[in-house]
Amino acid sequence: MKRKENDMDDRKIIELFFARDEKALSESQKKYGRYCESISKNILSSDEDAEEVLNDTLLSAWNSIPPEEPKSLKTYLGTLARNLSLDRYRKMKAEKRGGCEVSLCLEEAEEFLADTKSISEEYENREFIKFLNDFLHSLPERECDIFVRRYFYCDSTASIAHRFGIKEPHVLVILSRTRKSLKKALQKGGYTL
Amino acid sequence: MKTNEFFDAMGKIDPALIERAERKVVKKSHFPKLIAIAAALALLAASMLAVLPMLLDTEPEESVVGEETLDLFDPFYGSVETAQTGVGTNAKYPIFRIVGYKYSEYLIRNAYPVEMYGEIIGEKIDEIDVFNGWGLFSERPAVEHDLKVVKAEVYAVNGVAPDAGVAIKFVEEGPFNSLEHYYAAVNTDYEFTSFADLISDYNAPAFMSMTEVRLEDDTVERRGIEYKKYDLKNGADNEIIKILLTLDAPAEITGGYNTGDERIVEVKNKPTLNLMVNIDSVGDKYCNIWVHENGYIAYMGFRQPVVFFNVGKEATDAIFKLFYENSEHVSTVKVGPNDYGLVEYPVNQ
Repeated sequence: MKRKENDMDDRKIIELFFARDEKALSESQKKYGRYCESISKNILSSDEDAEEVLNDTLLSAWNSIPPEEPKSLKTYLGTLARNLSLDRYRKMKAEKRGGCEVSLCLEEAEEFLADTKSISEEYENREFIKFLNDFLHSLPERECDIFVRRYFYCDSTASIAHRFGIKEPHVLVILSRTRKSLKKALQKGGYTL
Repeated sequence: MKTNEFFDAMGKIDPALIERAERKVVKKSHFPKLIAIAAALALLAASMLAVLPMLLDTEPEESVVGEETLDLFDPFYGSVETAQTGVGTNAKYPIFRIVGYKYSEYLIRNAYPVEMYGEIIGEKIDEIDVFNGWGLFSERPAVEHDLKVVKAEVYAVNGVAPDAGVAIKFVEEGPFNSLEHYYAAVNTDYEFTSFADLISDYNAPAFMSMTEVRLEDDTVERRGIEYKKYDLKNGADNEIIKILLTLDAPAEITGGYNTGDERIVEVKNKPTLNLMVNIDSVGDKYCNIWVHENGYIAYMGFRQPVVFFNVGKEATDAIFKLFYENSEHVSTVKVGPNDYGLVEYPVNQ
C-alpha cells in the first residue's frame, strides 16, 4: 500500500502512545486501519467483525505501548489484529458461526500437526517459536513469504498467487512442500510423539 | 500439537518475516516492450559493473554496538582480506551448506579451527562439494550472498567417530572460506545409544572442560526463564568432569522435557544443575548436561534433541554434593523475548 503523504511518521505515533495522547489511536487507525482490517477480513470474512477487531487492536496497542516499543508499528498492529481475529474466530467457531479462509488454513495445518506434542506450557511455547523462526529463516525467501502469507495473514491461495505472480496450483505445491519440510523438522526437533 | 498452538506461534514469529511477506508484491508485466528496455538496462548495468568497484572503493563504515566489538578479524572467518570488512553489525559471516545427502546433516562450524586442538587431523575419508557464500550480521532476515559450490575434502578427527564429527578442508577458494584451516563439521543427526558411547565417540576424555555452571531451582527457572550462575572452586569442575567421564547408561528418553514421560515430570520441580561443557574437538563447545536429583542426566549437543540417561542417584548425588560444597553465586539471569527470539538480561540483586 502506498503511503499517504499526510500520514504521520511511526516514530511520532509511538511517541504519542508514550505520552498517553489519544491522537495516537486516530493516527494509527488512519495509517494502518485498512491494513489491519484486511488481515481481519481474511480470517473472519466479515466487514463488521473486522471493524470491531480494529477497535480491539487499537485498544490493545494503547494498553501495551508503553511498555512495548515496537520497531515496526505496522507489523506490531498487524500482529495484534491477526491474533485478536483468530481469538474471535475461535469464539465464533465455538458458537458454530463462521466458515472462512482460516478454516481451510486450520485444516491444512492439522495434516502436518498430527502426532505432534502439545506445547501448551509457556517455556515449550517459547522454544517452539524459536524453532519456528529458525525453520522459517532456513527457507528460501519466496517459500517463506508464501508460508507467512498463508499461515500468518491467512491469505487465500488465489490471493497469494496473484501477489507473487504465479499460478495457484504452484502456490499449493509450494505450501505442500513447505508443510512437509516443517513436518520433517518437527520430527527432528523432537516435537512428535 | 493443536492447530491453535501452531497458529498462536505463527502470531509470534520474527516481525521482519511478517514485514517482508507484506511488502513483497510481484505482478506480472503486461507490457512485452518492457523486456526490451530491461535488456538494454542489463547491458548498461553489465558495462557499469567494471567501473563500479572503482567508484565504490571505500572502506566500509565501522559499527560498534555499545562497547562490544566482535572479534571477527580472526582470519579463520574467511580469507584475511574478506574477513576484514568491518566489526560489529557490519561484519560478515560465512555460509556453508554441504551438497548431497551423505553429509547433509553435518553442520560446518566456522569459529573453531580443528587444528587448534593440536595434531589431531586423521586420514582423508571423502571429497565433497559445499555451497559457500556469506551473510551480514546486520541483515535480518538473513540474506545469502555470492553462493558458489566449492570443492572440499573430509578428514577424520583422531579419536572422534566420523559418524559424530569430521574435519573439512576446502581445496577451492569460495566467496568466504579459508583454504588454510580445517573446519569442524558436526553431525546434528548423530544418535548415540549410551552415555559412554557419547563420551567415547566425541573423544571427550581428551577435551572435556566446563565453561559455565548454573543452578536452576524450580520448573520455571530450570527451563531457562531464570537461572543462577555459579563459580566452582577448589577444582570441583574437574572433579565433576571426572565423574561424568566414568558414567554409563543407555539413552532412555529422547525429545526434551516435554515428552510427558513420568521420569521427566518427576524432575521438573526439583533443583537442576545445568553444566555447560566443551565436550569435544569438533565444535560442540556449548553443549548442556543437566544433572537431576533423581539419577537422570540429560544431554543436549549442538542442534541435537535432548537425550536422558539414568546414570543412578549415587552419581548425581555426588555431583550435587561437589557443587553445593564448592560453589559461589555469581549472578542471576532472566531470559525474555525480544523481536528476534530470547535474550538474556541480568536481574538486579
